[in-house]
Amino acid sequence: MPLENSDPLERLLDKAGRAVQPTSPGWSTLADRLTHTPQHAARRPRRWLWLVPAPFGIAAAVALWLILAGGIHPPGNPDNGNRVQAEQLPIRVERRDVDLTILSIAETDGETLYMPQLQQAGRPAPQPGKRATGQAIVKDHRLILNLRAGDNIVRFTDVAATIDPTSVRLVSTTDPINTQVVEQNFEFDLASADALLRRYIDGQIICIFKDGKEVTGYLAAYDDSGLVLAAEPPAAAGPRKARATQSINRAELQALRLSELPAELLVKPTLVWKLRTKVAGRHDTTLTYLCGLINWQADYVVVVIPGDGQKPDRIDLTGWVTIDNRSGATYDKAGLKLIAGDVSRKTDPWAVRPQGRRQVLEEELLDFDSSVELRLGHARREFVEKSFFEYHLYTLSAASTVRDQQIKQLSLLQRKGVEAGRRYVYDPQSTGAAVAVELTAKNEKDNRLGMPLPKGRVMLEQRDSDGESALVGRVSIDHTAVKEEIKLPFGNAFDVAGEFRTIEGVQLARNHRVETNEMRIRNHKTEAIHVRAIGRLGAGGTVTQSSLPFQQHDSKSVYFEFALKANAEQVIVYTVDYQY
Amino acid sequence: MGDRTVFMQLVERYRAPLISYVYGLTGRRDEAEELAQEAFCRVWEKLPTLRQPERVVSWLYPIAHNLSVSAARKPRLVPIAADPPAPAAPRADDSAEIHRAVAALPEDHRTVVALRHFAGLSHEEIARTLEIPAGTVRSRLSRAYERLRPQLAHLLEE
Repeated sequence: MPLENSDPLERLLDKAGRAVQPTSPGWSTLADRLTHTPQHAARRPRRWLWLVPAPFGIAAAVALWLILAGGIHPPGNPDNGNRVQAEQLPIRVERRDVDLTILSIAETDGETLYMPQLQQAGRPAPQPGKRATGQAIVKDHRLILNLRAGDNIVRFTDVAATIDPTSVRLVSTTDPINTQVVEQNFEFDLASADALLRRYIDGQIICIFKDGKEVTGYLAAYDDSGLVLAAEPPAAAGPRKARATQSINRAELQALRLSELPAELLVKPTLVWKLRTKVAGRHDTTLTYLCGLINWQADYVVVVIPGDGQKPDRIDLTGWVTIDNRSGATYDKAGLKLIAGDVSRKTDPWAVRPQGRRQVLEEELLDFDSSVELRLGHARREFVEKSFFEYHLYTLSAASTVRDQQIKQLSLLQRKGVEAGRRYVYDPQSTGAAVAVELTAKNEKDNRLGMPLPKGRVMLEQRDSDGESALVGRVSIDHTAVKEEIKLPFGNAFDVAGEFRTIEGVQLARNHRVETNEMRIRNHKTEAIHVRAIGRLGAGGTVTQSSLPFQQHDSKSVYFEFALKANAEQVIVYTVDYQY
Repeated sequence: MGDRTVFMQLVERYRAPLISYVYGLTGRRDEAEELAQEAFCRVWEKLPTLRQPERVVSWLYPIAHNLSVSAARKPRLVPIAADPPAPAAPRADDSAEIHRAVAALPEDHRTVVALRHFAGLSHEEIARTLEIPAGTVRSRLSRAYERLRPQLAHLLEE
């Protein structure tokens, strides 16, 4: 750094210079990295090559000029502003963009959402607590064109198959006051062979056999294996009379011919609204709903670079988010938000409990959405605000497409050279004689971290002296807030042993006992280690004396932390007073 | 050309200016060093194809610029603070803003400022590095300060 300058600007620049001095351990290995980076071969200059694309460039410029000067307009400009004309055109719905907020819940109960289309399709709704299902709030921004003043029938397709129709809300941002949904229907009776046959009971059908023979009749009944055809249609009025029937094995059929596709059968699940508005023309709308079978989880890879006694252990941490979308819809260029945290199941005692399948969780999610906020009571909003602060919200910096039946992975973080400590944990009353090794890293900016880390699985790898990484285990981490400690269980120590015994127990009264315990921890390693020994107290236990200072972990346990020199032993004697 | 030791001397000299440049572009100090390292690796990779190897530094910045833009475009999950933003308070570290202002300078001005204040070189050392007269270094620095002063005026009022 230059000598201290008298000019404030120069001093400011010097100060800024201190913030960009290299600190990454990657610089020390850059020389090796360059050694392994192959260099491109020198090439001969091709002086005239740049002329090759010139004709294409000229052609593109001419085309652009023609478009700009010749008045060639892109087709389908939706907003012509002509409302008189709009009234004569059919209503159209165009998708603008979509926001997806996915909730991470390890065990979302399936009954939280009412997913009729899923059940109709023969896929059983997930049982509560049995498997992860996940939920998401979809905010779908669409443009409705050519609305008429008065009542309109508007159809939205491309909604999730796992939609909970009871959660659907539509708001016109163009005219929210004078536009309202009078009636809302979710039509999910999709065209399928069975759905068609159900519509044709007592209707005329033609069965075409594999040998080309055709039989015409009136469908009386059907199941998976066969059809029953009646020779005559049922009597329209008067007493029912017996009809001659014929049973047909479906395996013998090549095709069934129906006169027409029933109009009420749909190809895609569709939301249908009767929308009343005073403003004709174009409306920007926001459709909000909850859907199921969409989930996310975090996965981490931790590469441990062991220290050498002088230097601490370091870890390279890579985090990924995996989104599993089985909701039956593709979210094109979606603004993505992920909510992490264990959802509180507490309910507001003053709130009106939802009927049937909708539960508190779903209301909390909807309340979070500002477009729905107006519909909900003040007391409930307050409750939700508090709950929401229990979560962490992650957003994606750019829009991303989440396809149906797709597992998508996105980078959460990548940090190198995070300083980690190695702690030996002896917990004899819980895990026996083994001394566990735990890597700990402070989730702080100073330690190259400092972002809330969602709960997830961790693949632990250790780098050996050759620079190769080997898998050493799979563990999990809990939600870890900033400034908290990340704990990575790393297996049991080989060279550190523990011993525990109760050396004295005195029953002073029927409900009063005093015990003196001894813990011995031996370090057979050639370097000093950091040890945490945990003493379990049980209910009503208090440590009255101890040979080492201790920390109260919770009401039922204390711990002793100390450094243990190489080839040394630490003896801890402590007395617990039990009153129960 | 292709001499790793010489190239590492170049790395040594230009890494802080490059970290500053990337930091100024991305606003992310944690990523700046990795991107700067990547830029040096890219330059090393293509060094033999360079027609004027002595102008290697003028390569560094555009490569770092492209890497920064690509990194910014890459979708990345970022946490949103649940707490409302704190009321405006004096900032402990204004360095991001300073590096942003320096990154926006013309290349010849930016280079002398970075070598002077981030790599800690004297005017004479900068002159030797850039093979320009020391007087030119001083005049470029002076013009760079003139550009920076109004932009950073609010940070100078102390």
